[in-house]
Amino acid sequence: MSGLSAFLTDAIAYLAPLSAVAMGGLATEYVGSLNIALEGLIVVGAFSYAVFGLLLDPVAAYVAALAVPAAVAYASDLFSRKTRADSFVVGLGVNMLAPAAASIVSQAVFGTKGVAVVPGLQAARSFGGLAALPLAGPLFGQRWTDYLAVAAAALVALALARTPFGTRARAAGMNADSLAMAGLDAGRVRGAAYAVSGLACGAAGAALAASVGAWVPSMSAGRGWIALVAVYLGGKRLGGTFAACALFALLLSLANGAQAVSSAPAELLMSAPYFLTAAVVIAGSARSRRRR
Amino acid sequence: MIGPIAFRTVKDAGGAGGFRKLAAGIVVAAGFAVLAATALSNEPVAALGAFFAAPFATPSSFLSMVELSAPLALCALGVIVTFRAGHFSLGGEGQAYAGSLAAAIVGYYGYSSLGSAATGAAVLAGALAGSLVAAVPAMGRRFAGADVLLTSILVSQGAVFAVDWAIGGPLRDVAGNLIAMPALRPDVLLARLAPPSTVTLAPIVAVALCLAAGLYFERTRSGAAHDLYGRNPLFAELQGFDSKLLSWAPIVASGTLHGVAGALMVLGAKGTAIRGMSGGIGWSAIGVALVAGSRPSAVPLAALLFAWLDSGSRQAAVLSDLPPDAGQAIKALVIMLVSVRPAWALIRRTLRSRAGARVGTDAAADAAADAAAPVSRARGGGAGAPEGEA
Repeated sequence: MSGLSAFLTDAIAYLAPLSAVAMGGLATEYVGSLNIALEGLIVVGAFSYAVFGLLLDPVAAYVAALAVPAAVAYASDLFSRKTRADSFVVGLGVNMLAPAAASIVSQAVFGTKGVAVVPGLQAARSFGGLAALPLAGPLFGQRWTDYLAVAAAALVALALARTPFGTRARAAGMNADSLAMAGLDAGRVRGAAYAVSGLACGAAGAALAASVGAWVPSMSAGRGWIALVAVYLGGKRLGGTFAACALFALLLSLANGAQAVSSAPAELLMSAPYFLTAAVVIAGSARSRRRR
Repeated sequence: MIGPIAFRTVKDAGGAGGFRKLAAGIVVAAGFAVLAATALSNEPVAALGAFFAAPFATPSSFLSMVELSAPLALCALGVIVTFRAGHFSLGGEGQAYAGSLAAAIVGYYGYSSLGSAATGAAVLAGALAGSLVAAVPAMGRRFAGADVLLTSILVSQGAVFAVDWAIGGPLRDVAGNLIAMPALRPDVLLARLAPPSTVTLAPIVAVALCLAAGLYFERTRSGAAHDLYGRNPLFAELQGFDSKLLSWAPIVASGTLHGVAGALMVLGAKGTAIRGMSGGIGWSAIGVALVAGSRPSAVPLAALLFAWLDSGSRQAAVLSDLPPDAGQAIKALVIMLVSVRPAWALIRRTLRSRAGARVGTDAAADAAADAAAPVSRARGGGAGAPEGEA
């Protein structure tokens, strides 16, 4: 595999879970709510995939990885709506609770709080034979869970752009009263958006766990926050969000690849995409301000 | 831009209801501790005893817990300072971590030239490092109108990686197994006030700063301007307040407080900069600020509550089989449950309704309770509609 091909394969592997999470974040943005719990929901998805992968088979584990974070996201939104708790604070609680709960359950199920390898959990590269193709090769060099994460992102995007759910979600975000006047329950639309968000994070979490065939604490590695930034960097638009995800994936892949060819420390290389993106955000804001 | 409604609970300009929330936090935490010990431990009595009693069992363990709460209180104060100005900076983790590194560098390498004055220099270096990490989002906000939430997260994440490199790379003490800088000389560390406990001056500094911040917000014109800017920047500007200053200074001040917190960790119990030593303090601090109801004077007690959860769960893990992460889980649940704001109005309404029923005046009681609810909201302790419905 050539250097460029390896770089692109790596970038797509970054992009797959990131785009799913970002689309999930965008779903709740459509209903006018910031889902700060994306990071925690990825952890829930990855952990569910590992636990159910140990107890059942990979397909059932994947279904669980989608369902459990979707249920957690829905429940957290229901809690904040019914008790009128601030959804930001509830999301913060989910982010703190998810790794702690995963650690407690991990000790009980795997007998360790650390890395737990689950035999048979690592997803295969279904089209690995085609990975050597020129140009298109990197598209085929991914694991099946990465394709499913991209599919989840595409489905969420499609649902937001082309279905009545997307229209209702947008209406709920813009003016919930108008939705009520049309006889629809804005709360239910919001709950559905949160469930979709959780499901997308679950797909991302499963892709991460399946890439190494194990549960690794902190394996979300800030992807929830990066996805949140991508949503805002992309102007809360589908295309913009995806483009921002692609930019992040390229930067992270570049930082990752640079470790192999450069003597620069890995941590410094990994910090570069964050500083660079902060600079992009500030420069973009300055440009928008000048236009106004 | 992220609207102010999303952060109403933590921001809650005016900071009312701090002690009421704190009382609720203590009750909820105790309840969950009992549940956790019952559900997760095979020896619940021992777990409960360790959780509740061990941190208070000796003056030494209690004072060590107080020491643990000091950096958390300073970080929470930083959260309040920035959130009450309407800036939702989530970069506390990186700011505190950078403060730790800077303090350790100055404390370790500065001792030869500064002697025991290196302690003060280390605190200043920590404050400066925290300010510098916060300065990027602050200047982005001031000169470009960039969203502080985004830039603060990004810069903080980048800073965490960079500090990880410094501690694990060029500054690492290769003689030790721990990924850490060399230990600071005892002369540089803050003096222990009551050995064998780890307590130093740090809790006193934290309480003093919290009280000063309380006075600033409640008794000064600048504090009122700060709060007003957080509620409505345009209105604050129309009132003649310096909105340009308020657009960045609270963010930098928050970074300074986080940096000092990081420095106090190094100069107190830790003794040097250790990789990953911030350990989620930035996120816990938001929880502390929430439990304190954004009221600075309630912060030391709220921080002590969180320190007790940490200390209690650690003791319970040692003295029984309760998982050490139980404390973190309880903290998360406390944060979520304390954010349930209208429960107070509901409880009041129910109680009044029952009282009314006893004298046969249900309708009058309901009307009184309904009338009371908006008053409660106006005081800052009432309901905030979820943003989707706002």
